[in-house]
Amino acid sequence: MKTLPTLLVLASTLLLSSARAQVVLQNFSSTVGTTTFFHGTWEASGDPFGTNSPNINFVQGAGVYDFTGTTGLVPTNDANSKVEFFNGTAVSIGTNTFLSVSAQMLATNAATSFAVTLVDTGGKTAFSTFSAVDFVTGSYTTITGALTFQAGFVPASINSMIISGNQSGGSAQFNISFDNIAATSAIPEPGTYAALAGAVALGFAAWRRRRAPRNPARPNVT
Amino acid sequence: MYSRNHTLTHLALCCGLLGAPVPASAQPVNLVPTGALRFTINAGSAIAPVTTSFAISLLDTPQAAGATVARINAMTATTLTVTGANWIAGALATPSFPYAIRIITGAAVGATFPIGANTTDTLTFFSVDLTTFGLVTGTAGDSMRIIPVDTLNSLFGATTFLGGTNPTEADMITLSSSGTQLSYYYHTTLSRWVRTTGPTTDRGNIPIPLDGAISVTRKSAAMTLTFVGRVPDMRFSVAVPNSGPTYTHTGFPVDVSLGVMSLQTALPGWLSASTPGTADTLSVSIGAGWLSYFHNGAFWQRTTGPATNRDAIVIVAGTPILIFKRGTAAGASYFNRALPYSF
Repeated sequence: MKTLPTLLVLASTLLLSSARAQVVLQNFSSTVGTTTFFHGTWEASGDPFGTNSPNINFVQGAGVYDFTGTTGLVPTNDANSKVEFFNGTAVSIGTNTFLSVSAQMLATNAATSFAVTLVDTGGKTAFSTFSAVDFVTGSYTTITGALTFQAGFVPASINSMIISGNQSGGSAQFNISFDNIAATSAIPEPGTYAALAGAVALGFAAWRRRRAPRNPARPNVT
Repeated sequence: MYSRNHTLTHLALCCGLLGAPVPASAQPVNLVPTGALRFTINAGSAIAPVTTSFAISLLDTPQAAGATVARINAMTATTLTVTGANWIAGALATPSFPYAIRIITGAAVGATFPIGANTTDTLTFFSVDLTTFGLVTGTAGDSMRIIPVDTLNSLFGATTFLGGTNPTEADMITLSSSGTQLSYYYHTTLSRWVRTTGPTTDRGNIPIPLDGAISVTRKSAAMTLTFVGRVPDMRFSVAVPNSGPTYTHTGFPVDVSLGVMSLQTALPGWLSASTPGTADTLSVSIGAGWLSYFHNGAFWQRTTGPATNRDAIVIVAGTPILIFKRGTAAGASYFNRALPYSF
């Protein structure tokens, strides 16, 4: 009789612990602000130190932010084209060693990759590089990549996060829409969720069998 | 100049004395020669700033109490223990006077790790797994050396460069390390180092990267910087992420050609190709910019222009280099260079 509750508790514990381990670093619900600095072709003007004003083509959506534009000031994948989000108070990513990025490649994108870099308060870094082609066009896909840590990087003291075009002198058109960036503990394999769902289904079936009368045809004897 | 002694630091900086004599009492006795690197920082102005980039391959001598060269008695993934080291707890991980260790024997010779915390006999490190370096512990174990790491405050202080109330009028110092470049200037009203971007938080304790590069975007008259320190006496070893850029240097205060450095064989996983668009690249600093090369399978050539053999191109001592690895692979490989001279 305890099969279903046990499995459900197990599944929810796993899912909840996975959720607890994740640290959202940017949800793109209000991307532009005084602590966000755009550089290179990703900023509105040529201030060499970056500004709070993004490329005029960039669009804030509902919880998403489009790095878009095909005419006028076209954003490119130059490594010096970047956006840096500062944290008012240092953020900890705990023991997470992966970054997950939810994004989609816009139809006009020509950039092949981008990098997400975490900067600690001592200037040490950890980064993940993502292939643009992994983010399909038309829907948001979440891709998880292992962080490469610089020795001495302090995970408990994240001062800022940088998204950059990743190519030295790159001129390819950078058109990507971002939904979410988070630090995570592991790559959530689709098979993991399939296994969990299967276990829950099996448990539910077993529970149903045990709850059913042994001989439903036998009449009650009073 | 890697020195804990501010007086000595600024004496040499201000006077620009190559190999400036220093009192014997200020230097521990050692058998490794002290050398000097001298850089001319080109003149610029606020309207027309000029950038000069350089890298320092000399090291300082530790001034902290306790063992400075020691055999590793025990280790975990993030700690090393030296029995009887007699360090002062926390003294090797003070933000204003940070230290690192460099492995000096064994398979990982040259590997360098910043110290995150310390007790009297144990060092703790962040974001590194020491068990992956083949370190040997015990009575016949590997040895390490304590290395001081300078900061913006300790190396440059408040007056070496032109300060200002904004990055447009002040000299800008860019520290390039691993795959990131971060820029700073001395804010004369706040009396502290701050980032050129973002909040004006005090950044004076930002470490000067041992294996990275420094760029000075000058808005005043030309100046000379002279750095005095220990000459490297072992293999140079720097982690190069398997994707993206890495800002570093050639490891030693001597010139080396592209052909002799042989990055295509010294760095595991190097991608040679017939076209620059599909090859890993090596760029050599030229002030604010870079000259880029790729290895075509037979020799080094420029990423632009004719396919001339550039193996003989010399990277002058103290010149930063930029390694760019294609792809998105995580992790890092080690670029190791053997000691190119003997004592």
